[in-house]
Amino acid sequence: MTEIAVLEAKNLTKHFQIRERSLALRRVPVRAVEDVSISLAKGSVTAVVGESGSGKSTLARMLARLIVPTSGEVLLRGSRTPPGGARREYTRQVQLVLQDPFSSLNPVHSVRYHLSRPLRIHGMADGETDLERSILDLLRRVALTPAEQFIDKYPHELSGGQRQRVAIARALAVRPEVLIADEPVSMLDVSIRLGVLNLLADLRDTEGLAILYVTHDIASARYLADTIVVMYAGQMVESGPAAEVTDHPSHPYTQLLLRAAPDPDRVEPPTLAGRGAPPSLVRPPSGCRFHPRCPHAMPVCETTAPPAVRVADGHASACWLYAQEGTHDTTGPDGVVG
Amino acid sequence: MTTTVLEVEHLGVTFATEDGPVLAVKDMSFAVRPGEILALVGESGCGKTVTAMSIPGLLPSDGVARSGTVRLAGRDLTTLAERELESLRGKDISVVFQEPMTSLNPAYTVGKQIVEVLRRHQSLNRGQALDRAVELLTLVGIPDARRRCTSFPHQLSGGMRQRVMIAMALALEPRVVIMDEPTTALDVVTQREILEELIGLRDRLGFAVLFITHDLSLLIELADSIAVMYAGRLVERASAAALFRSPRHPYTRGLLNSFPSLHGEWRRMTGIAGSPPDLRHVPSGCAFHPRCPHAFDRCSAETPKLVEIGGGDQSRVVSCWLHDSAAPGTPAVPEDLALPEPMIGSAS
Repeated sequence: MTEIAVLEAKNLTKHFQIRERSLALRRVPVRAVEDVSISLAKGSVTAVVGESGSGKSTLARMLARLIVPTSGEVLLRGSRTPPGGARREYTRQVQLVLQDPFSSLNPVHSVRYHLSRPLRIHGMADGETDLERSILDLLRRVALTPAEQFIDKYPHELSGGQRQRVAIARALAVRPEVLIADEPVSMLDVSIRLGVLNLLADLRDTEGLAILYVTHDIASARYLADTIVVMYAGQMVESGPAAEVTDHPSHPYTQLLLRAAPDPDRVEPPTLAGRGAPPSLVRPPSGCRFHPRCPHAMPVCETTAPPAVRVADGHASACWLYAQEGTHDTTGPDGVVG
Repeated sequence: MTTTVLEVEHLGVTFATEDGPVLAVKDMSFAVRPGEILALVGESGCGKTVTAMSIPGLLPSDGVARSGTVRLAGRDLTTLAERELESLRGKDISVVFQEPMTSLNPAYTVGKQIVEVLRRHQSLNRGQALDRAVELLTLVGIPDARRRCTSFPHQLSGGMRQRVMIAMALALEPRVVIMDEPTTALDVVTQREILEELIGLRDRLGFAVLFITHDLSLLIELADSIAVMYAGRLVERASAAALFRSPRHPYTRGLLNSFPSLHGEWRRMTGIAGSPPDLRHVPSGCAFHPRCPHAFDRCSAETPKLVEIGGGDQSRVVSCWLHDSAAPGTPAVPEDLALPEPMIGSAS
């Protein structure tokens, strides 16, 4: 690898226990995320693309340590993250930006309060003047200028895009190395989404942040991300350089997703291969979870989950179409290899 | 048969608020032909939903003032009493809302809910109505429809629920169906399946659709024509192809530039600077002028009139001073707002 992985997840699995409404109230697992490995490099954006129920937000929350994985581990700068006490140090380095800026900011507090909290809690400011200077600086970094005008505003006085910028500024306050953004633009008006995406791109380029961009919109992933990871029903199905994955999708599910996406440049209506909806995660299909919908499904797909197979440089696909029995790829399931 | 099934003329909607009257929709005019899919597109607060909901009289009566006329098959709906509107809703004009979970009653099976719609308007017995409900669910692509009639809304996926809503909207064979962001809450594959279904149903049954969305990128494959709204006003209306290939209004151009492409070389895109205005403080003149890269003096002083460009099938309207070349001092129309019309016709 040429780039250092700032944050690395190895074989993360999350099974939520729910009580099933059947004759006996049995506890059954919802297999939300199954054996996902991913690595975030300094100064790069990794997009996790998937539909609802694909496990993309659960993955993001495990990386933010809001959800404890059932198995697997998360490595920050190569070292295992200890449970419990070191949480504050971890959250200083790995920050989360949520989807809805209307609910992630407290309506009774001003911008100043929202940005002063992380600075105080993590001891990032030395005295009141320094605090003020730091807050103004944060507002400028997210292009909320003139900063003096924004500092005393309340969330209801801001537009959706401005609120999301405050949420990003709050995440930046503690000088994190990793930013996890879970659908940061999907609640925003269309005309201002690119502004927020460009801000994330600038933070990657100028501050070297490692960013995880969680989205359902593969076109925005192509625009913002360096690497795209596609998830389906809790499994990672494909990963690789963003333009490579969207221009030469190898997994049948990625191909379906791209054909279904709105595309003003398309000349003829697409034909969808693999119609239908994602499966229940309580009883997911055996083997490859996409096999019941897959137009290329083979007997092996029903029995065994496919390994990630290298299809091009840094481009991996978890699909039996590309795997020769017995010659599994050794680059690791994350496929993000240099 | 008349050439239009729905005509909205000079529609205005004003809400009384604590901060004084707010003009949500101003001087909105459009017409829909039988079988046409007309999309109303714009961002939050542009008035697209208010426009659509005022047509079947679904806005609250308290504190809302409506002006202008709405004609459905030649009949002026604005003069009808509530009781007359009630018998018309569902039968002549129906609505599909964005969130099917909140528009379906969670306590009743979907079959019962469709049966209720049918029996409210038609003299069918329970068995006949149920048969018709099964037929409708089959029509919208729900497999094993008879069994599905006994399902409760929570037992269906989001896509299935929205299909039920569409079946219910089509139950009485209306002339016009209003759809308010019907696929926004759905995943992209389901969204495409439902839109395909909708086009097929329209082709077979011939109803017209008023399709409300914020997502312009969907529309080239769905809509026949598109009306773009900004801050309560119509800014541009054209055929879908013309709007995508040769937009005339800077806002339309900006919206088109807000969707990253799935193809080609990466290029930095900027969307539109600033944010949509608060309707309590709409900028003077053209409401878009503070965000417009081509604004000149006149734009902040006077509200632009709607001008018609071209004629016949290529007819389009745009509300922008750039296209009023008769007035002295008007800058040349920028290249990206003067692209030739697609197919026949030419821009002059």
